[in-house]
Amino acid sequence: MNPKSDDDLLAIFLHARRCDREDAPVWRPELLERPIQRPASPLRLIPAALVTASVIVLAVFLTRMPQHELPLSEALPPLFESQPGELFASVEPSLMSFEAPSDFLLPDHINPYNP
Amino acid sequence: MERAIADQLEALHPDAFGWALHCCAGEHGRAEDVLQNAYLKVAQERAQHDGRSSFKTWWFGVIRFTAHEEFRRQRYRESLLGKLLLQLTGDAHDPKPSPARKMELDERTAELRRCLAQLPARQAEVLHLVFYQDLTLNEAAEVMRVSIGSVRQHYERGKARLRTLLQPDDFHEPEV
Repeated sequence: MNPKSDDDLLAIFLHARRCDREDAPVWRPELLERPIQRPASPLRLIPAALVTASVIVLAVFLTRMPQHELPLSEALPPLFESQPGELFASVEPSLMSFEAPSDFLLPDHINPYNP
Repeated sequence: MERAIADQLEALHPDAFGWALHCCAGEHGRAEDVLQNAYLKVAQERAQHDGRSSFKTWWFGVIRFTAHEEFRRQRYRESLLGKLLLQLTGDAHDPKPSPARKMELDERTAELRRCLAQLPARQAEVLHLVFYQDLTLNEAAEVMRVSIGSVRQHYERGKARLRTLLQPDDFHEPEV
């Protein structure tokens, strides 16, 4: 792989390799020991339990909440409560019932109040 | 944990540390952390050798991946939010090696590490795997998860670049 012309670089790298080997940390077999798996602590389940309980309580509250909204037919204002009658009856009384203050000046034959 | 795997890991331990050291840009403490996390993955069977490649290339791939994970974690710690959280938790530590540690480092090794740090990461990786770990280019390609053609290109360019970066007096045979 390394031709003769690369011997200069090879020598430098090998020197570095020797130096690094002296600095390398000692081999520790315990590094390969499988870490002890801790059993799941019951305390770790508390947040999940709290969230679940909150969701259940909220769902029950929403489903059992009394409904205050009226149906639409009841909510609308009563627009046609007045009894049917003559239009503008109160504004323009009929001619028959009209009595002007100057009616006494009329001739007798056309005065309706003259017996 | 099978005895055979433990024996192989023990035999590869010094070279694995050298590879972790390279993946961590020469930071001794981080390299130890990375190697320890990689051993933990094997112990917890989160990393298992499936026999498709040699044990050494598989193991070096695990270390490389673990180092990248550690790098991302380190980048998070260096972020503003990470620093704030570390101050709150009181878990801050200095990732830099101590001055005494720096003095102990061999000058030639430090120079090599400085030059490798100036190379693109892929070029530095393939040079380390070939010259330091004595892997073939095919094995280096398996560790780096790139094609053999790409590895060959990184290898040739990396060698040329490293020679220009290294000082001329570094090319002498080291006296041991």
